[in-house]
Amino acid sequence: MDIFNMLLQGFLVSIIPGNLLACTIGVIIGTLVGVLPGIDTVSAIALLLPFSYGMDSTAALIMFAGIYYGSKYGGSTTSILINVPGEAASVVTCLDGYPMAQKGRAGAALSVSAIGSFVAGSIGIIGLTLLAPPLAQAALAFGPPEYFSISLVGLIFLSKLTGTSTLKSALMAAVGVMLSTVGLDSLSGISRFSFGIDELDRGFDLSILAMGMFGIGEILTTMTQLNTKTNIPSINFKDLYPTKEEWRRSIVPMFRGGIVGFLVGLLPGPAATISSYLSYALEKRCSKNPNEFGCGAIEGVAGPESANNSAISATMIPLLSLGLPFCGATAILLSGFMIHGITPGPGLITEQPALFWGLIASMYIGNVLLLIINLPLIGVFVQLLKTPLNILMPLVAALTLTGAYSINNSILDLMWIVIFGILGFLLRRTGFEPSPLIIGLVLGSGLERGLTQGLIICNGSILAMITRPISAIILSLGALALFYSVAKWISRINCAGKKANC
Amino acid sequence: MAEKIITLFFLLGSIVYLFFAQQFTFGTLGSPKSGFLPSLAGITALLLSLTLLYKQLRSNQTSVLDKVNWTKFIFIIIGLLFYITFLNMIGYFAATFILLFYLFKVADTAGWRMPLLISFSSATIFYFIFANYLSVTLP
Amino acid sequence: MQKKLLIFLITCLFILSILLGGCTNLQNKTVTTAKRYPDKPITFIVPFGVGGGTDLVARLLEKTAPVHLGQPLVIINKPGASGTLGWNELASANPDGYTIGITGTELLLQPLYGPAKYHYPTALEPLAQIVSLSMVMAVQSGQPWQTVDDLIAYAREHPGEIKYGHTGVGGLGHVAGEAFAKTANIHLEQVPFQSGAEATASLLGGHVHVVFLNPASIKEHMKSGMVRVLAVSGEQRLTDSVYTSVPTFKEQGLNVVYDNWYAVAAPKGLPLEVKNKLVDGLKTMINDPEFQKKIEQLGLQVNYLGPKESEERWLSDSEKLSKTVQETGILDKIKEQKK
Repeated sequence: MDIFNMLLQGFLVSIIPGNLLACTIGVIIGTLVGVLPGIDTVSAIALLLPFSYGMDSTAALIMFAGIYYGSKYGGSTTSILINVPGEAASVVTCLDGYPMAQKGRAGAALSVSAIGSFVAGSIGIIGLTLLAPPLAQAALAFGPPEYFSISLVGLIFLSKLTGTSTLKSALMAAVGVMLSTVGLDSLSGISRFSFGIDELDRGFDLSILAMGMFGIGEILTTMTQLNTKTNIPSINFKDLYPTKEEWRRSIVPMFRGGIVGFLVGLLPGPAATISSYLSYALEKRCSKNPNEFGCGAIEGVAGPESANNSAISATMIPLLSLGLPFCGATAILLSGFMIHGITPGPGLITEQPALFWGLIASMYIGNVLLLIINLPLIGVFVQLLKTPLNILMPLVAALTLTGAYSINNSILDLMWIVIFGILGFLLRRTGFEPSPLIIGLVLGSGLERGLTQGLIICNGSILAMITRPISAIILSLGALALFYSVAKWISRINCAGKKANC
Repeated sequence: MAEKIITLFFLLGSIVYLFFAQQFTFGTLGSPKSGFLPSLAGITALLLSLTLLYKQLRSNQTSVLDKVNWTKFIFIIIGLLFYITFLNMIGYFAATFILLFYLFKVADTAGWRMPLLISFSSATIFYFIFANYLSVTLP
Repeated sequence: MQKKLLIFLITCLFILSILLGGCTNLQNKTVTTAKRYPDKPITFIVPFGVGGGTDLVARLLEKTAPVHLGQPLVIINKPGASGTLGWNELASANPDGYTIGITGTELLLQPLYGPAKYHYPTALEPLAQIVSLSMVMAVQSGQPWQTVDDLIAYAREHPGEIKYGHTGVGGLGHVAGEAFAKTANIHLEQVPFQSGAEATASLLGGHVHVVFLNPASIKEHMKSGMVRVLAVSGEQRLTDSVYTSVPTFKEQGLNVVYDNWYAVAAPKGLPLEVKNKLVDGLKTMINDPEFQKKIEQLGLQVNYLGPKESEERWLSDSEKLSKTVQETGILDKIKEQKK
């Protein structure tokens, strides 16, 4: 087993004190980055790049990778405890995590998310070790027409995750798509909807939108409640960890999330965010009591949190085996590689086996470290809940604003956060769910690019686009599922009409 | 009532968006130009909000909303806007300190010394974490 | 009652301050410190995101700045709108030598396509050119074309079938591609991508046939044999060992010469003493062998030009590019996006 030997050698490399220390520092920073709303993975790695000049290359890369996957462990903390997502990939965790906390099950939610992250992270790394080259080749087979199909199907299915009214969710998704068209368009070379304001040319950043609508929105909602409830019911030790029943319910979602996240991570775009949405939708569909979702279903925490962790490992595959970064964070990692004189690509495994396998081995170690760090911290975090909300909320507000500024150094961004915060606040009060807006924003640009590029590739024929093998499979799966949903809806209407027992 | 206002807001928003989207060439199905997706998205949003508004006007459900302390809301917004306006002028530390103190008072934290202390220490901590450890350029 | 009055007063104060703050413009403090320049850190604007090519080069400069310029460089990233956001800020900054920035070829291209706030070649003055690199034209190695002529012959037989990828409409890759098509008298379809990585992925997956990209993006793939580079768009061949065997377009009889460069620039009107100090410092920094080695590690090529040569190059490139953009119809294509 050649791979096994290499892996063993990699472990030896990663246990070198310098590398081990780098790994530990990396995962700690990563957890912090995830917990703090505002600062995100890309900014953190970017800011630390200059510091790493003096470090040994392997150690530096291990640290960066640690930050990368560590942040997905921490992101769920604030989502569950105060309904403010630590980063865009943890938005979905708010949907069921926060209701669980309100019922006093915060500890359970946090444990499940930490353990799920570990399980899925391990699945992801194993997949990375064994399947990197063939998966990378498979990822290449996806071209613009396939991305178009994925975006289209995704848009239709991921917009209705929660909430009552399909119409409202669809409207939110459409608005999200509209927002995604603002800015300088590299497909056509002109700037749309920028009204001469320079800053609008950049378009709306996903993090800004998420932090504004969910972060500031939540802060506004909490701070303006007439009867400010001070805190959540106190928790005794037994409640810190999940019950047997909750364990039983979370195991399968963890694995499902792990696999789904891994597959989605191979594709371009903000993989972690999309995979968490997809996992949530999947869990809801596979669950025996879908109505519980949104009120504290533990599957809704286990699935998405696992998915965003395995997506991370999957995004490393195109980076390490092809040298192609498919999302913002891997692009920064690529820069980190290049600064140290290493160019990942097809040659990396053969030219620098120590680095490659050392890195992968350190990912295993990092995951274990994260689990060890995070589990006891659950107790600490739950204690933090005791902080009266009227102190906690202003702190979170200031933190969010600071973090947002650090992304683009732009005051206008802060302005947008406040505006989206007000919007999020109003939307929540009136029954509109903000999450489809995020999906619209993310998939809207993918949709447009896939369509434009795909049509040029297929010489202007939509038919050619749809009949390409992978594209066709995705679209037919989507159509089948749509057909199934419509059929169910019609039968429900018929039932209600006949007033019969059904 | 509030529901209908929001829907109306989206309706008007999509109309404005569509108006501006007309400036971009639509292209054909075989070769979409930059006006393609915006026009489609705008029309979809328009239709959806119209349908929604119609449904809402027809049903006479009034949903009970949580009471909201609107004065606090306005105060918070003013505070945030103040922060944004002055961030570049008086520097990060001062602005954050003032913002935190202001928000603490708005949130009804009793007394003066406690909020002052917390604001000061938090602003200092944030400054150190961001400016020194992470070297973010703060004003 | 007293508490409410207090809150009311504070609110009024805030509203007043917001109104005042909104109305006052931040005054430009004109400080003449030419005597002891530089006596405080220099702001360095990078108009692209962190981790991008320009950003990495800037950070390498940041490392050696304190020694040669006497003060540290404070890098501020202002990404957006293909660099125009950052360049607008640079052009409107005080020409006192405390704000400089890094520029690329986009500087010349952007004003051609539409109303830009400043005409960059005249609003900014270059201090030094750091890097100059030509584009490469690559195909997947599985394809049958061994030379540029093969490709041209195929394209003549199947007009419109060949698709080429590049990183942005109106960008240098697009311009090079269209110029190639025009000179060779063939019809190619262009597919825009958002980054070199995306374009490379499409090439490897067989979705596009050719790409016009930065050599850094596909260096590794060239090394491992997954792509074949047919030509480079420079005056001379690239010096990087991976690419030295690739002929230029000029050698093959096609007049396609376009280079991508990065230069350090400042707003026009620098006092002469300040400018000289900056130019000298930058010259030492850029010609430092350690710096050159690091640049090459990034896949770029150092090509130092002083301020005067850079300025001449800007003007001549600007002319050449505006001519090409008009001739190949790129300008029309972009203009027709807006009715």
